[in-house]
Amino acid sequence: MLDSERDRIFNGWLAGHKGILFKVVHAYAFEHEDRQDLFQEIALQVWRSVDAFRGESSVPTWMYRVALNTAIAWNRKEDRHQRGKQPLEAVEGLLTTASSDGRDPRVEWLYRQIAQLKDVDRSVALLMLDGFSYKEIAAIVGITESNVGVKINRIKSALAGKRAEEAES
Amino acid sequence: MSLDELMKAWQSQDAAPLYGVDEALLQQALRQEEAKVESQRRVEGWVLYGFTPLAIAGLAFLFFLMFYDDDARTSWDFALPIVGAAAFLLWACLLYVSRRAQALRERRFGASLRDQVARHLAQLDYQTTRAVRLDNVLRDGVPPFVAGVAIMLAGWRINNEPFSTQWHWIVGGILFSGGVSVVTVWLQRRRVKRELLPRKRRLEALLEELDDCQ
Repeated sequence: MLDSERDRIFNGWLAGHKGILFKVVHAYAFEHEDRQDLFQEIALQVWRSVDAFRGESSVPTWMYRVALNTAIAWNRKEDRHQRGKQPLEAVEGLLTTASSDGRDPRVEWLYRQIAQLKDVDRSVALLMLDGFSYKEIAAIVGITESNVGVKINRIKSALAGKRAEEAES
Repeated sequence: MSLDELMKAWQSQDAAPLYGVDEALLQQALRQEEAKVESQRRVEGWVLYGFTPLAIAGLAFLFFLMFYDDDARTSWDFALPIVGAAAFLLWACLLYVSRRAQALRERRFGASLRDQVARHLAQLDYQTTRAVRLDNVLRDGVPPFVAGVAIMLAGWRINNEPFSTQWHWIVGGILFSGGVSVVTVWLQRRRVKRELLPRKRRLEALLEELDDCQ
């Protein structure tokens, strides 16, 4: 595939679904610099994955899959090491925090709860909240549908428990 | 608060995204990363497919110089460039076969998160065993060492200098080649210990997490 064609497809994906990348970045990295780094890494992997996309799944499913695979294997310290001494200035300013106007305040609460989950459960939680079916989650994560069910029930209970705890206090 | 309500709250991000992206900077960053990967691939390809024929051609040249000059030669003299060339060829073949086998192993994995974690683990296993297992260390280290020594000895023999005046260069060269091999192995093992093993443990923990309710 020509680079220009890949760029065109990638830009189209980014324009339509960049929210997916933001959600994954926000759930897996917690400092602004880390988020810039992870966003760049995910964007790079999505860009590289354009060639491999065969249309067997929807674009959002594909992007979620690539983003989660990247985020879960990503480690800031290792990443820096592997890049050698590449200056971070290269990615500074790539990502800017947007105004929270129009965003439900419960979103940040959800991210705080998601941050406390284990890496894999975090992926399942993101997919669940974005309305993916058990079958789709199972295919993305690589576990059985019944295991997805078990994990989702645990996550729901944890969220409900936390909510009740906060309501009491 | 029900899951439906949470999902509704969650979807408010679609209308008010968490971040903005500088797309021009992103394109620039992607280009830089891709250029870096390409240049690494080029260097590796050059080492594997360019350096070996070059070294073999050099050794063939030494062989013909020996063959056509007027000095008396023993069969050991002719054996040196042949051994050197064979060692280079063996090294390149072993490297190619090992990489190809690893690429085939990695192709077995699918696109799911679990498969990707398993693929990363397979890559790390490949890198760690190359640096730690004795047979792999010997496979990667002995042929270039033998080839280097053969080049040195062939160079010495072609000049017809007596061993008594040149021995320090020869012994020094052999010790230097041996030293480079030992330092290379040490650096690789240090990388395994500091970088690859912690990463491997983290990925194994992830795999366990994926398996914890299976």
